[in-house]
Amino acid sequence: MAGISFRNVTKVFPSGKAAVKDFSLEIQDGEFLVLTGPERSGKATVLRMIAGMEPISSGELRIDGTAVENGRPEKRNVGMIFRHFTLYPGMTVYDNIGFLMKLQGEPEEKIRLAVEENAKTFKIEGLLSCYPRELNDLQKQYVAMARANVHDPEAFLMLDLLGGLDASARKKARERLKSLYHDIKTTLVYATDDAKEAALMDVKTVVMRRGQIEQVGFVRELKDHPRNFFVAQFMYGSGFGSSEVEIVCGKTAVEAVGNGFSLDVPPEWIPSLERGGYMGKKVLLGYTLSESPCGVEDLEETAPEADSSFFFFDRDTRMAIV
Amino acid sequence: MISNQILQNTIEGLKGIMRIELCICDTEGKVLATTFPDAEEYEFSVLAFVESPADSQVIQGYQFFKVFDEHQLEYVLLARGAGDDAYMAGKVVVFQIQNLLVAYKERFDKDNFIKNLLLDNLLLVDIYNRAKKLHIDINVRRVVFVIETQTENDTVALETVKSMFSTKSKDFITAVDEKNIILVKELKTGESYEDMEKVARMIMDMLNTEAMATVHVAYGTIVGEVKEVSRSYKEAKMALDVGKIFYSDKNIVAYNNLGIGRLIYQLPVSLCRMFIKEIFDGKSPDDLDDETLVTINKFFENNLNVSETSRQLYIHRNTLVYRLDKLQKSTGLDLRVFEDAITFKIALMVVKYMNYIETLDN
Repeated sequence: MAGISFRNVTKVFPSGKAAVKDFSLEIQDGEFLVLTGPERSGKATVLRMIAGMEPISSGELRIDGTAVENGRPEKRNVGMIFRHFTLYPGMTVYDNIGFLMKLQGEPEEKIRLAVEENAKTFKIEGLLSCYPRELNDLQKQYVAMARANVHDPEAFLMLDLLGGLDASARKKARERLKSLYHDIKTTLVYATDDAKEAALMDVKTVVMRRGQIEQVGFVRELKDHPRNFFVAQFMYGSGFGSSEVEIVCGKTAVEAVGNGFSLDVPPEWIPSLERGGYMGKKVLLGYTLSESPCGVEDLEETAPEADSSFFFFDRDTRMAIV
Repeated sequence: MISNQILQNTIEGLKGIMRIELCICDTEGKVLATTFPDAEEYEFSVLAFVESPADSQVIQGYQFFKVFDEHQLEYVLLARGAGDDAYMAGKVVVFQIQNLLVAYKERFDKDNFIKNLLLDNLLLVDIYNRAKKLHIDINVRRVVFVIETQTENDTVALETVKSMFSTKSKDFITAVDEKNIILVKELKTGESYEDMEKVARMIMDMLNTEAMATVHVAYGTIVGEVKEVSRSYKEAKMALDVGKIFYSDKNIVAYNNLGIGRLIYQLPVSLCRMFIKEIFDGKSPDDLDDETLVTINKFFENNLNVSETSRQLYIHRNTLVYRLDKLQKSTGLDLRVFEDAITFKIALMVVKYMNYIETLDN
């Protein structure tokens, strides 16, 4: 197991495009962490920097306390499995798992022990003599995981691994992944652009956008106290609407008056709005929606529902009003 | 031609079946594969046997056999025992090795053909004749992928790619230089560029995660005839180059998706120099300080939006306006005006291209 520490890490490609900016994050030894954010938010680059696939441009990256800024990938004991994995079609499951060890000239007995131990951990002992064409998608995933784990890595990196599965297989794989995390006891970083997937993992989650961290927290925290409009919108997805409203002090209550609707501001928000000097001004109101089959554009036209939760954001900075 | 590992696996497998110790030596007596220790002791006997006219002979309790490849002596096989059983077992092993030689030669011939095809070393008539001889379909759709590894002769990467496509014998994996692995992939009916993008992603993800290799993958256009394979290869090579110059943040580049980089890559250097001189009046955009370059890139990234750019750069709007004014004074180009912005953007790309050409010249 190994802890991973990023301090002010920036990755700028030669084209001048910064994929990751001033990224600071501590991943504890043996922690299961989810990185999420929309496409091109820098998640894959973070994983690739940990693995040594991308040299960092500035800052400090430590694995297990040792600075590894530009160390070669093979020197880092990191297991990886990305969404577009494949199994070697002409090899049995046994040979698939032991392939890299064989290439590296490891003795047959050592390979056998490692393959059998991993097959046991991933509960695929019965599949060792099968060929990939005989396996279903879920079994293929387990084989790929066993293959990535064969070197007993100190950290395990997964990029959108469950994205290619259907809903029921995904649920099973997620449960297996969680139980495996307890079995293999290694630092596990899982990156996905699917906020629902991230939420269902129910572990510490990092929300990223444009190469930067927007918020770190457990899912409940990210949903109940989003730091800004983006985090709220990303975490709730299509179950989130927004509207510009004016905060008006009525005779009996403080009201938020929007385009075609008005509502009483929940009492817990009033001190924050007063403190920030938002009385009589326009703010951005975010609200949860029970169900929304509409596209994103249509969400602008929605109105809060009776059981919506509310969030207020500064209209210019889009930061949560707290 | 056959690796020692294959020979070793073969005799170990045969020993498992026939329970006879085996050893294969080359014609100079060097042990290539053996199932028993101290095989080196028989070096002199092997050399003497090579010189003798006999095809098989019993020496020091072993049956010695000559293994020929088209009348050329390739190996000497030793099978323990002097009786009929050892003789028969030895003959079986010789037969097996000779078949391996034929199979490998065919594979080698195909590899040779594909290499020459890619490099345009074949006459059109030879392409069709040899393709037919080697049972290579002429009129099927194919596309060429070029996989560039960071380290030279990355055998793990090569073996990984070979294993990924091993059961599809109609795909060819070869290398014409030390840093590039080439995959000539046959397409199934209905497969399109979208599927090729997935194949490229799969190659990249597998090499990243399995071979721990950082790679760039490029692919050419889909061609319909074997004679056009070299065109697809050239396109893939060009895509790799163009990607490295203009799209360094991308690890996968498709020839049919090169954008404006494709045009600039084709420009003669003299024309580029003239253009840069005209725009920057002899100065080079490389002389611009980092702060200015970051500002320009961010401004382009945000579609020339001043508010969003200043927000993302954590600077006041007026600071950004000041920087843009300063740039306008030095270059005469106002990046807030679309036409000037596009001129500047193209000029930056041209400079990148010229820098690349310079590195080639050095």
